[in-house]
Parts: sequence; C-alpha cells; structure tokens
Amino acid sequence: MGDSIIFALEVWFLAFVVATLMAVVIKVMLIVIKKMSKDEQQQPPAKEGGDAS
Amino acid sequence: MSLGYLFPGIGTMFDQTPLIAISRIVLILLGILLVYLGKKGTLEPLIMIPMGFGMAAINAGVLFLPDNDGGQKIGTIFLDPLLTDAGELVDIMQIDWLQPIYTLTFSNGLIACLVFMGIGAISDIGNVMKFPFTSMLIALFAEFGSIATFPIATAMGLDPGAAAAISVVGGADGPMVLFTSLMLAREYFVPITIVAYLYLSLCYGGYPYLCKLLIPKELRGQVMKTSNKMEIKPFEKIIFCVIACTILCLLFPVAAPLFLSFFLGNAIKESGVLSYIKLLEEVFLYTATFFLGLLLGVLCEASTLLKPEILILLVLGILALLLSGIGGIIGGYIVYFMNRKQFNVTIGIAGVSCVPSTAKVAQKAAKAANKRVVILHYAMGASICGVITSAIITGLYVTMLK
Repeated sequence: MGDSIIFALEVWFLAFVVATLMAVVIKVMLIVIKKMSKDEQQQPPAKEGGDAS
Repeated sequence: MSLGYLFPGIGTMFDQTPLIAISRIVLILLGILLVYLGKKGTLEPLIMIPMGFGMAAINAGVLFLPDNDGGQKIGTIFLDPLLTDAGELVDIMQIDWLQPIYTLTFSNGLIACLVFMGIGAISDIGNVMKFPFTSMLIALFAEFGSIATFPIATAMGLDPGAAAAISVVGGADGPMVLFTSLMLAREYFVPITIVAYLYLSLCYGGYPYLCKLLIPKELRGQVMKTSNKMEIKPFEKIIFCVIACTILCLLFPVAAPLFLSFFLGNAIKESGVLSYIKLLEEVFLYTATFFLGLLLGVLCEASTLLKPEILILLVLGILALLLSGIGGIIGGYIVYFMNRKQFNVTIGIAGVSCVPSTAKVAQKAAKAANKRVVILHYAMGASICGVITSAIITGLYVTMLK
C-alpha cells in the first residue's frame, strides 16, 4: 500500500511538472506570437518603386 | 422438436446456469431502462440509446451454435470479444456481424482516436491560451480520482496495470480508459471499458448534485468579471496546437495517437476548411460515438460480465469519478481564493475533462443559482486542460508500468 501511494504521488508530481511546463510554453508562445504580429503591423509599408512623373 | 430449439433465445436460458439466465433478464431490463433514461436526458443519449439497445439485444439473442468438436455451444452472432487467434478471428469475422468493427476499430483504439478528432473539432482552446495556469491548476486537482484510486485498487488486490487502468476512469475520458486498459490490462479491457462508459454517462446526471452539495448557492451564482480580453487569432491557435502536440508526443510517445487526434481536430477547426470540419464533426464523431455505444452494449453479455472482479471495478470506477469531482471543486475553491474571490467555484467541476459534458454541467449548475451567469467559456478551458492532464497521466501510467 505504502509503495503504491508513493508511486501515485510520483505520477501526480510528474503530471504537475509537465502541466506547468505546458502552461509556461503556452504563455511564452502567446507573448512571442503577439509581439511578432505587433512588429509586423508597426513596420512601414514598403516603398513603391518607379514614379512615372 | 422442443420449443426451446424453436425459440433458442428462450431455450438457452434453461440450458444455462440459473445465475446467468437471471442476469440475462436483468441486463435486458437494464438495457431498456438505459434507452428510456437516455431519451429522457437523465443519461447521455448519444451513448445510452445505442448501448441500451445493444445490451438488450445481445442478452436476448443467445442461440445454440455448432462448436469445433461437432457438438453445440451457447453463443451469439454479434461478436466474440475474447478471441485472439488470428485464424479464428478471420473465420468469425465472416459470421459475427459486429466482429469486424470490434477487431479493426475498437480493440486497437482507432475508435477512441476518431472520437478525439471530433472532440478536437468542437473544442475552442482560446480560453486555455488565455488562462493557461488557472485552467491547468483546476485540471490537475480534478485528476485526484486518477491518483487516489490507484493505491486503493492495489490494496483491493488488483495488479498495478489493472489498478492504473481503473484509476484513469477518474480522468473521465473514455478514450484514455480504452487506451490504458489496452496497454496495461488487456484481460480487464472489456469490463473496465464498460464500467468507464457507464459511469461517464452518470457524470452528466450525478455531478450537478455534487456541485449543489459542495458549493453554496451564492458562490455557484457568482458572476465573473473578465480580466483578460486578449483576442486569440485562429493562426495563433494552430501554432499552439502543433507545438503542444509535438511536445506531448515527445514526452509521452505511448499516448501520441490520442494527442495527434485531438490537436489535429482542433487545428482543422481553426483552419476553417469547412469540408474537413464537417467530416470530423458530423461523420467521425457521431459515427464513432454511435458504434462505441452499440459495441459497449453488445459487450454487456451476462456470461462475459459475470466475473467476481467486475464488482471491484464497479466500486473503484465510481470512487475514481467521485474523488475527481471533489478534487475539481477543491481546485475551484483554491483558484477562488487565489483570485481574491473573483472566480466561480463551479468551474472546478469542468476540470474533470469529459468534454463538453462537464463544462455543460458547470454552466447548468451556475445558471440554476443565477440566471445571468455565463461561465461556459471558462469551463471549456478547464475541461480541455482536463483532457491534456488526463492524457499526461495516462502517458505516465503507461510509460512507468509497461
């Protein structure tokens, strides 16, 4: 019984670590994506070449 | 010719032991009851109606069949779940009409993956991305049953594989239970799967009472102020899906088919390819759910179910779900206090996965306390994280015990 309790707690602890890691990845990923799309919006439009006049 | 041979469904009852004959009658009546409760909405109709029909039909449609020695045996022409010999399987697939579906989709987990693709296609992961820590925390607490049942099951005499398989019922995810029992406890595959799906439908009926019992009315009816108004674009969701899928497959290759199915379904939803969305939502999900229900019913044959260990599994299955429900609500209370009482505790029950049933249960319980409260999107976030944590725990059990 004691061994199986320790095993179950081990599983929960590992699940906790992986779930936290997932949450961190989600947060970081979201920040990076948001920053990238913001930078894209702030970039000046490319100059159009060749003015006929 | 005796009447027993003319009507073998009845005749076989006199040829079997009284216990099996009585169990057949009880299971026929139970099947009819499940159809009624499914139609009434007390239990999940999508599973219960085909399951009830299957249960009633398999226990009624028993007949005398020729056996290999030229004698007679009692059986059905639905399917034989205990066959493993390849030659016999090919033979029986030409006789038992559900055997091909059972062998080629159910016992290899394909049907679970199809259900997961469909679930992915109806889930919105936007709220998981907005509130990843809160959703994950609730989902982790809602795995209490999957963890606490394991030592209880081993103390009751089950081997670690079977104990893990029945504990995963606490994650309230049918496909995960199917997968764990296939990997770790093949001999209990049929009873554990039946117990799991029977109880998952009970979640729908039982969890509202658990919410009422453990959460006061004013907390159930609490209106939440949205603190995060960030908009998540479909493109961002697709990127999340592919990265999360890759990381989880990398960490738990044994559960990779389930991760792939769920995230692929979700990415297809966000991609907006209508023909694929229709295929997953309307064809895969409903076809797989229908056959899952029918096969589960057909597997409830008296002679298959009448084993002493089934009683232990029945007790452990309901214990796992009860503990997970309580754990989810405790998680809800913890987030409530962490957010300075600006959180609806009822969302905790949605952490017990079972997408989208528990999220609907949370919304229903909250609305019963206060008609203005809308928590469904938060609840869906917790529920989807419940799928992820269930998959993580399944992966851990399978990796550590196999």
